[in-house]
Amino acid sequence: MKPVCFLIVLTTIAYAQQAPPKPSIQAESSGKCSPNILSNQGTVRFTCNAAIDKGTATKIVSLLYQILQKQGKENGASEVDQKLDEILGFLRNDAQAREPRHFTDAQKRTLIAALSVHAKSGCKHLTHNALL
Amino acid sequence: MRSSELDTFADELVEVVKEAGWRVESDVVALAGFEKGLGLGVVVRSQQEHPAIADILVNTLTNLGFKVEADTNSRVPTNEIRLVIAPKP
Repeated sequence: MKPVCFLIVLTTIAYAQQAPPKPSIQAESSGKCSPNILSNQGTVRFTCNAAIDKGTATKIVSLLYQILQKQGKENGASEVDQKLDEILGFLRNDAQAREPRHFTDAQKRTLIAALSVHAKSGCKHLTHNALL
Repeated sequence: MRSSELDTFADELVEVVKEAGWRVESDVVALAGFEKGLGLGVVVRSQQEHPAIADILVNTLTNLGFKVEADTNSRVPTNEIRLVIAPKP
């Protein structure tokens, strides 16, 4: 439901600026966030099917809107790139934070190796407290 | 209320610790002095009195990319490490 809200807000901004033409180019890509930008004219629609809360979505839309406005006034491509990189970094961190914690096989081996040394040398006493 | 993420991760971690040859004494429902109650915590008696493995546990988990908070609690016996597995921050 939340990603749908995100899409609606973006679309509203696009419509507020001008009556947008229907996309003339259709493209698809896979992945949770799959921007297809094949033209630098007209309307670009980002569809992000990742779980994003309303506050985050609003921040992203606000940033994108600011970037678009600045681009129009200053035409500073590098600044826009920098802002987009910031957004990508923010999204990656946000997505990473939502991923469930998990030990890979390599991580398990590393942890077992580190803990095994001391388990053999003496104290084998560990209390596990899981918070409920 | 425990989440499935917490349960799964706790089970994984306990399994790894057991596989390393350590005895996991009990699943106690307690904060154990880890006041924040989020993420991973390793609680020992004090900075001076604690098993050396506690430092290795914290360092290894941190190096593996997990955020671990070390804490002290005078109620924890000297030869004991309390591993707190709490919901994600």
